Amino acid sequence: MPHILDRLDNGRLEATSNEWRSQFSRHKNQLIPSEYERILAWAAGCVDYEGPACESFAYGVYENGAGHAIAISEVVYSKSGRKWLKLLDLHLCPAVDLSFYNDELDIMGLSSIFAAAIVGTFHLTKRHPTDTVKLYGRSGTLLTFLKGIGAYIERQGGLPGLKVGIEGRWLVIRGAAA
Amino acid sequence: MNHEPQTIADVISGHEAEVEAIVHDAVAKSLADLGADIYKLEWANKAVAAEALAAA
Repeated sequence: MPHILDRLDNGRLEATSNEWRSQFSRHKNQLIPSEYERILAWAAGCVDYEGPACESFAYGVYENGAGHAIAISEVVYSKSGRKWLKLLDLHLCPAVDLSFYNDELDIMGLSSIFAAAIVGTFHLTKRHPTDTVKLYGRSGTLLTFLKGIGAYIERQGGLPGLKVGIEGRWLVIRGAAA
Repeated sequence: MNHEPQTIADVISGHEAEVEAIVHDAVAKSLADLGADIYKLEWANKAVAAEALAAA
């Protein structure tokens, strides 16, 4: 895939902040800068990946080795009780957000970003050990989107060694042995 | 004895390319199936909100 999910270290966070600010400053009449500033501020506080108390993390989706993230995912990991990793949200950069609005959507590019966020979350279970990943359907449209993903995977015969299904507002992926 | 369950990463190890391909196709198909509703995805709301703000 041309996109990968990876950490936001300080250098990447700065590059991402600079790039996003550059994008939304060019389109102030079409975007709300404070929305992106809020996301960037939140992300800056969620990059302590080794902190023992941290359960909420920001990860970047990067395109072809770019220094800045094209999207930032919001991941939560439960450290006590039943362990799971949840992908709560995916914040797209201003330019991609604007492509929805301007009817210039690149469906394949968008698919690659989302797929990288999902598969990247699977790989994060190396760092945050669990046999369960959950994707949240925050809105009705997003839940429909997640249901479509689950249905397609089922029609393809599933994912090797995994069970995939909708539980409430979540698309849940579990190890088949779970 | 180690009673930790296998992680998702462990389970898909060796099948990464297959998993990536299926997930990518699933995302593309589901996005396409949304049709006009794709513009209602949560992520597009910041631009829509800006328009509403400008009109207020």
